[in-house]
Amino acid sequence: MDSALIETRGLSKSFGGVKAVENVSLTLGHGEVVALLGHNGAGKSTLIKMLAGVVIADQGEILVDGAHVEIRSPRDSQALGIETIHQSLALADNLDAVSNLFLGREKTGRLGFLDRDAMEQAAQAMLGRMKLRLPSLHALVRSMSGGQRQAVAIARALHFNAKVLIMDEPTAALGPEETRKVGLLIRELASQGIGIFLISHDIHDVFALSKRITVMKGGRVIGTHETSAVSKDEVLEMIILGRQPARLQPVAA
Amino acid sequence: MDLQTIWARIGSAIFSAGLAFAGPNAATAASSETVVGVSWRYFQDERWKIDEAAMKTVLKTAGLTYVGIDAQGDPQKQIADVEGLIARGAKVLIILAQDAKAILPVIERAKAEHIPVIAYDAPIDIAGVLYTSFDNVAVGRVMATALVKAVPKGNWVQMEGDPAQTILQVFKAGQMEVLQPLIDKGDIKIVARQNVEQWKPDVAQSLMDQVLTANNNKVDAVLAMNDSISNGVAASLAGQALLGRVALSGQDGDAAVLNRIAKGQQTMTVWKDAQALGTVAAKAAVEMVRGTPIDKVGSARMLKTASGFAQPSIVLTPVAITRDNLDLVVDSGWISKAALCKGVAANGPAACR
Amino acid sequence: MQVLNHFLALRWPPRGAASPARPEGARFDVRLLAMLGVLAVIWIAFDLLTGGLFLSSRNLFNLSLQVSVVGIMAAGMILVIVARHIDLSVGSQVGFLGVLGALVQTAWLAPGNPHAWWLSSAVMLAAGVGIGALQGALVAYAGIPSFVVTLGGLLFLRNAAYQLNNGATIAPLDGTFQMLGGGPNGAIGGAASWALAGATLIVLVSTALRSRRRKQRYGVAQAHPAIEASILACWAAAIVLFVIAMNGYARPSTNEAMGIPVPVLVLIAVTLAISAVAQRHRFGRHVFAVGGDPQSAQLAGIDTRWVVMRVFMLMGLLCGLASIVLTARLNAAASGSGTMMELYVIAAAVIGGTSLAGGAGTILGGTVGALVMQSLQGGMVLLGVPSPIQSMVLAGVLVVAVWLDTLWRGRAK
Repeated sequence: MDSALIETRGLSKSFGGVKAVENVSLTLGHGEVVALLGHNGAGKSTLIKMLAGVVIADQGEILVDGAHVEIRSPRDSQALGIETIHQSLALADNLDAVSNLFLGREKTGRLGFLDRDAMEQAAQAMLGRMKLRLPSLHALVRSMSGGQRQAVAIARALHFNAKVLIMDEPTAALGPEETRKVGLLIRELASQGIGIFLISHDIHDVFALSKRITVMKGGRVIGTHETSAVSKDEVLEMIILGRQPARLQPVAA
Repeated sequence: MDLQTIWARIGSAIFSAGLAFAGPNAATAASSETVVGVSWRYFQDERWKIDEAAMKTVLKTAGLTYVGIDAQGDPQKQIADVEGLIARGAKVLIILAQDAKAILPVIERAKAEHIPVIAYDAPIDIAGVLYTSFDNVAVGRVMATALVKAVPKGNWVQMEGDPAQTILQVFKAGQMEVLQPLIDKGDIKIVARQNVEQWKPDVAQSLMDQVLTANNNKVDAVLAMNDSISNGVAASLAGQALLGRVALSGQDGDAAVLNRIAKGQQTMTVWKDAQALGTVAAKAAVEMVRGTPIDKVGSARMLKTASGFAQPSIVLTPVAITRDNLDLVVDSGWISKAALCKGVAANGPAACR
Repeated sequence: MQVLNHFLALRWPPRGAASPARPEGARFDVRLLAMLGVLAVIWIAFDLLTGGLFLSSRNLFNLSLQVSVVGIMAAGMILVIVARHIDLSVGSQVGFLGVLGALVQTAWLAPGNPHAWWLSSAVMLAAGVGIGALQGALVAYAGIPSFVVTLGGLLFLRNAAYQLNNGATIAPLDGTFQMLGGGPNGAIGGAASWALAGATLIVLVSTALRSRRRKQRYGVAQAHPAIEASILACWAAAIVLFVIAMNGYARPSTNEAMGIPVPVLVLIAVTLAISAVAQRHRFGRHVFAVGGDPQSAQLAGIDTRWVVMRVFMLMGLLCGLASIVLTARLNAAASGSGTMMELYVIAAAVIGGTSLAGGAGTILGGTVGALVMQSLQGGMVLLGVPSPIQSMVLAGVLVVAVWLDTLWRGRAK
């Protein structure tokens, strides 16, 4: 591959006087899983939101497949093949699974009227792929368990031919069995060439699944290393103390 | 307190505060400016702008400044309005009370500050206040008398105004003076009586629809308490092809109603020459500014209020306008002949030929 | 995906028992049925109390007319409330637009102008949309709470209505315009009513059949044909009974059947159209998403601000329509018309099941809510109940309805 799937160069964002993200440069290649670690307020969510089009960067640039792109809205992001599963899952509780699977990207017929049958048919397939059995396709999302909701959010992201999948704390609300399943899914997707940004506070998951780890603190990247080249303690040191352990040389980004 | 009141209070407070700030400066800077403050109860009703215009004319000629505020139907706001006018330095207050009881405390305050108060049109039960109005009992009497003349026997419907306004009882008293003996005698049967929320014509229309249904259209006269209500009743009657065949009263002399009277679709309306009343009140205010004590104002005579207080009063007599005396409203300039006679057939009333 | 299938062969643990299937396009809206039941009880009770007067053609005809103004506005208000906003200015809009339209007819166009009726109507509708756009922009783009914006609108427009014509009532109005309000010439007649009913039934049946075929093609689950057939039969019965009632009322002093009055046709058209938008259109879906979870809607790529703006514009359009009906029916434009109407419209929406928290509600429910309130009020007037008691009863009903609704939602969770 000549160019990385996604590259950010010097991305920065301030809110008021506070620098939420400062000069962040990362890459993500095809089929790679890159983990983003850091405390709350380290800037991970804001960085993700810039890629997802929810927040617009003040400075810096984003490149997809080597080409400079402008991401100014969630639609722009989706159009580039970037699918984001936010920590909140971005599901509308008062709507059913079918509506949520197509939220914002509804299939329409003439004059904007919904093609409900086509969406329902597609939904059956999407949820079937996730092996998700719901009591009714038309049950409201608010009546579903955490695992079911997560499955719906993932199914939605997968349906739209993502090249890049961003997952923000995908297992935070799940039990061990479901966490394992998500892990398998991530491996499966990576093996198909999809690039995955994984935000997780679970260091074991991160070490099990990711190829590369980036630690952020105070909006800045502390260090990026191949997972195989660091230990958990060193990573923890970077998260907590905000500095590279002495022995490590940063990998060229 | 409902939201409109809260909003109104905030607005009034800001207004009063603004006035208070401007007060001392304004008073000294405009010590040549003598203010007559007027507090309206609900300026939305068609008629009051005529009273206001008459007042402004008289006050301007006398070199006095007119300041008017609309309480928008809210008794609480009216209290705040009057306080604001006092703060503004009003030398005389003219008050059209929304709620005669609620307004008493602020009138006491005005009296304590030796500001003469004129109770305009709506009575206020307190001593030491000049009362200028139409004889509101006479309003009811005149209305009922004219309608009885048209329909001395039969089924009557009473469409009364908003029960929140105390003036309603006064109109009603006059009406019942005329009607009660006839009801007792059995000549007149009241088949329905309803209050119209905020005197709104669309509400009156729906109510009248129901009344006509309940009585299978067997209604001979509708005692509508004002023109706004009669508009709604007329629309309802028109829907049953009864317009012109059922006697209908009104009050205020609105242009649309006078036009209906000319066309034979309404029996009468009570005309209170608002111009005359505004003029009389403004003239009394001028006299009081120039020092005349309140009970010595020309043409005032002492009348007793409901509680027995003696009030100097200037009371004008309302007139029933029917088909036969439409010339009165044209000649006084109240309505133009063109507006009165729009759409009137060839065999119309005298005033249209 | 083989690996995936193999490892995901286990079930994702499902939550307890079947949750009530109540998305915005409910197949079986139990709540609506309950409301219809309540309406039926009210109707029967009043019919007995008034000695058969309540269910007479004449009263039902009047009732349908009286409901139309509030019903038209309730359809829009429901979407506003679903989007987690409120519009307190609708009553003032009705008054203002009425005076505006009347001025177009009487002052700005020559008297007897044959186009007066649709020109003034067009002006009223356009102005309504304009007011809605202004309020919508302030809410959506300036971020001012809708309560504040529309409260300002209420005060501003009420006084603007007064200013337009110095408070004078404008009457009478253009003859053709009057027909839009019902009245002796404002109904379509017996034959046309039956024709309309027949056409509606044909459309209903063919739509149902087409829908079944389509669902079969897509392999989508559908209700048992017997159930669908009985629902269709209920609708057919309702339509037939409705036309019988409307035709049973004769034009005064003639024997011709009045048929369906124009305002009621407008109400039916509005209810169907807005209902279709709410349940079957992308815009309606987005309104529910924005009201249910604005963050999620935003993240999913929905332009939430534009959705809110359009909701207010739609409300303004419907205020214009309601004002046309009210003003035409009254044959007069009074600046005080519509005062306090926002409360009745909101009450109709709430009684009909719209949650003030946003995200839930049906248009048909609002229509039934308006029917419930107007039936109670109209019935009480038939019985000669004094006005203050009428208001107290309506207030009580509103509170009870919301309380029951809260219980229902609590149980459903």
